Amino acid sequence: MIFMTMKKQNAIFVIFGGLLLLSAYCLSASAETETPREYKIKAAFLYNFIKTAEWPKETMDRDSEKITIGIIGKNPFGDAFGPIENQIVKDRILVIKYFSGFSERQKNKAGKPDLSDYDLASLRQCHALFICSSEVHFFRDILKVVENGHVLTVSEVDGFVENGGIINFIPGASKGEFEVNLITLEKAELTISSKILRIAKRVISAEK
Amino acid sequence: MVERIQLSTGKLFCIVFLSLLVVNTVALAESEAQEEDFFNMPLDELVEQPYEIVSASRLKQSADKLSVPVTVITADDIHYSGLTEIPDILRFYLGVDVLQFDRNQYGAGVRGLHDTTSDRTLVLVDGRVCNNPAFGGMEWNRLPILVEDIQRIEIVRGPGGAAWGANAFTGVINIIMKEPEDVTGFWGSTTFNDFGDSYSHLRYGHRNDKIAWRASVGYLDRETSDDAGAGDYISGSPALTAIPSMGYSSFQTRDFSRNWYFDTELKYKESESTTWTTGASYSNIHIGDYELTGYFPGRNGLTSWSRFFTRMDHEISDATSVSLQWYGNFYTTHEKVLTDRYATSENDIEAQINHQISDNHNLSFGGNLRYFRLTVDSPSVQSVQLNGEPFEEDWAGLFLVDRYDINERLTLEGQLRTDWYSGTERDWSARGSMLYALDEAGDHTLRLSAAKAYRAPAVGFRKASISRIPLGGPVFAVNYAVPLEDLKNEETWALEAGYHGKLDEDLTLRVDTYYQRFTHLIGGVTTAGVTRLANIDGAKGYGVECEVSKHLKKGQLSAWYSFNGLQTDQSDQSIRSAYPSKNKAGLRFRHSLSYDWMMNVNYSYNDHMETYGNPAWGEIPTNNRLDLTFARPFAKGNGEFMVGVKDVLNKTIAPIFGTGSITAHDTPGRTFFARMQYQF
Repeated sequence: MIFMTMKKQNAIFVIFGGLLLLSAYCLSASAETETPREYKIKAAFLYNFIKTAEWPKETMDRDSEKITIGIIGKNPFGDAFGPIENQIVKDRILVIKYFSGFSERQKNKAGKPDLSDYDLASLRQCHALFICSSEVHFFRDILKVVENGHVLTVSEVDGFVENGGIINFIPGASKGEFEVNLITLEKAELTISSKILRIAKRVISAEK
Repeated sequence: MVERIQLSTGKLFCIVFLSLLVVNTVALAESEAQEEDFFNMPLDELVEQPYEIVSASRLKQSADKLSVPVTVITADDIHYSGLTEIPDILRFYLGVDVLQFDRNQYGAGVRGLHDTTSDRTLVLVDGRVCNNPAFGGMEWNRLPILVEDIQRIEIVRGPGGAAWGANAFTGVINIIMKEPEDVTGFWGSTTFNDFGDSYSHLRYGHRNDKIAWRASVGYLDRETSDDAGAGDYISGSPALTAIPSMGYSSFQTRDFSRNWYFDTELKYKESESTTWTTGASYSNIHIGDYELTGYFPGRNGLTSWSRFFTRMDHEISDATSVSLQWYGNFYTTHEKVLTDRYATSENDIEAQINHQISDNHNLSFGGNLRYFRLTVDSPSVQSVQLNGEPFEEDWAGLFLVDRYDINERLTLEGQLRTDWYSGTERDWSARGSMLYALDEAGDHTLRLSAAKAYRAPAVGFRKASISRIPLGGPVFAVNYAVPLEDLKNEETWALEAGYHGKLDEDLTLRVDTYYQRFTHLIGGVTTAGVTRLANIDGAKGYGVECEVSKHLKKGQLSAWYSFNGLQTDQSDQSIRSAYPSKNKAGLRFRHSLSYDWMMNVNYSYNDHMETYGNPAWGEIPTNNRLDLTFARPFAKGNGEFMVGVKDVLNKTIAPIFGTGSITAHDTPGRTFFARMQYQF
């Protein structure tokens, strides 16, 4: 017969599907839950930001052994920084520090997060600080804390660069699209590579 | 010969089986899976680069330097539309006319001339043909791919025969699938609507340093229009439907479908210069029966479609690359419904060589050989008869694309192709284009083109006959006979002018105009109660298409308008397809809202369309279609929840007659749906 019977067709399909599911299961059995690709890319951007940024001498002199990226809030990066953690960047060991978010703190009487036992000094000592989207209601408070610390602040919340932040991954835009506020960058006495500025989706500068 | 097809199909399954086993074994043997190394990726690559178009001339080209206008639908456009059928998505884009005849059957055509059996628009998946080789149409619901595996859809607006060969007549729809390395891990999605329909898709992708593969399985379950609150029949020919033997009074809408889809692709990087890609896809489609030429079999349809391909890409040097490809289409109808049970097998071997003669001069040339075979099982009186089967047909084609940047502003591109087809002998296609940049930055480009393409009538047009609605003895009310004279190819000549402008960093404008002359268009001629296909006459078409797109800070906005003034040489000339809408307009808007919600709005307006030159079947009324979706991620972006409304404005869609249909019924319009997806 020219036409395969339905029974045969179905059998082939079921075996086909079964084989695939089995192989998929085998392959995934040892796999850990992966970080979304979006955050792997954002982690790579952060890495590029610190590779190409320049800090004032006194900031770099503060610790001649380490260069630190801080992540504050609910960490979306998972273990995305694994491949570069403790690697040498700018002749220093790259350290990733995770901070609990202000959003997780208890509120004081004024309705503000209680930061009495928070290690704010460590926040200020980060070379770059990524403020997670969980801190959408507190990013201004965080920026205030690191205001004079020459910290390259990065986030992914609306209005970040308009409210004192330096670099922001545009929420809802294609992965990797970011905006830079040159005014706050200069205020923090930092410089950043022209290549970064060239690929930025938007650059806010004094001329505008 | 019959056994040979069965054997080869079986062998192909075995090969795919074994390939999967080998791949999985190799993949399992790899001790460490290699992740995408974003940290060592150059910044320019890290930034999402604009896609390059491959459908205009078989070469990767930027969107502003094309020799023919191309509309692009991105993966995000598809995703946020919430839609699960390709033609339903196409209706929101510039240059495409779409008709839905029932819940399973669509006609979609670039600049019109669309129907279930019209192949005047060539449909490709990654450059591989998927129109039905027997009857010419594109059976969208049977195509074994899943919409979330699509990376983008490129719609070539204008004759594309010089690049792609026969039947790229008014345009080309090329569906580009996602690369396996871009979809690693588990991903699952399921969509439900208020009629109880569902569409589910499960995918797994894996990648190591040499091999990347993805495999998808999907299931679509759709209720019949009756059950979904529509389904009322009307007749386009009361005289015929009054004949008791036609059984019109007992007709009932049964356009449900229960469809399985499977699609896999594997890429093996043999070396820095050589990559092998192979893939297999399969669909098993179980749908309710439908009327055609007065015949309503009262029996469900069951079809399967298998597609396979293997491709080798090799860089011979920095300036020269070659690709070799084999693909096969194997299609079987398992139940006798409107036609007798038939099976087709199509094998195509293709080679392409790309050579950069100098920095400003690129040459691409190649050819293909195709073998097609059709067999029919136990013909019966009421079925479509394919006289003279089994058919064996051959194709051979040669093409050349030459692109030369004369200076920084002026580019010339020539495309030439000649094909030989055993069914209609030799024909040729060509396209010549001149692109001129109005400014030094190349932000504003003018284009002038001339093109010629043809459509070769498939075997079903040349050899089919039908006798339906018995009136007693050998007399039938509906009689289609084979053409009295051999059908010639339809031909079209086009003159085009266009402008592409980048008005600012985020704003683009594209305007294209054209004049098109058609000759030898095929239609039905009825004499003494017998209808035969013939090359009746020609037509002229002229139009303008424009689109403005704005990239917003948190989304994007596109608006488009098109005018298509197609006129056949004879009034009420049968062209076996619908005419295009004269005026069409559309708006697409996507915006990121607070709390990570993404809103997507798609709107299209279509003037009324004329159908088939048969006044009894009337016009397809003006249509406004508005779709709305809201999506929100959860679980750190690994999951997404979507709610939406399809066709907000219409509760039901008025009946639309397909070519050869005597009856039609309404279909559900407004539909609420919800979708959940998760990736691991």
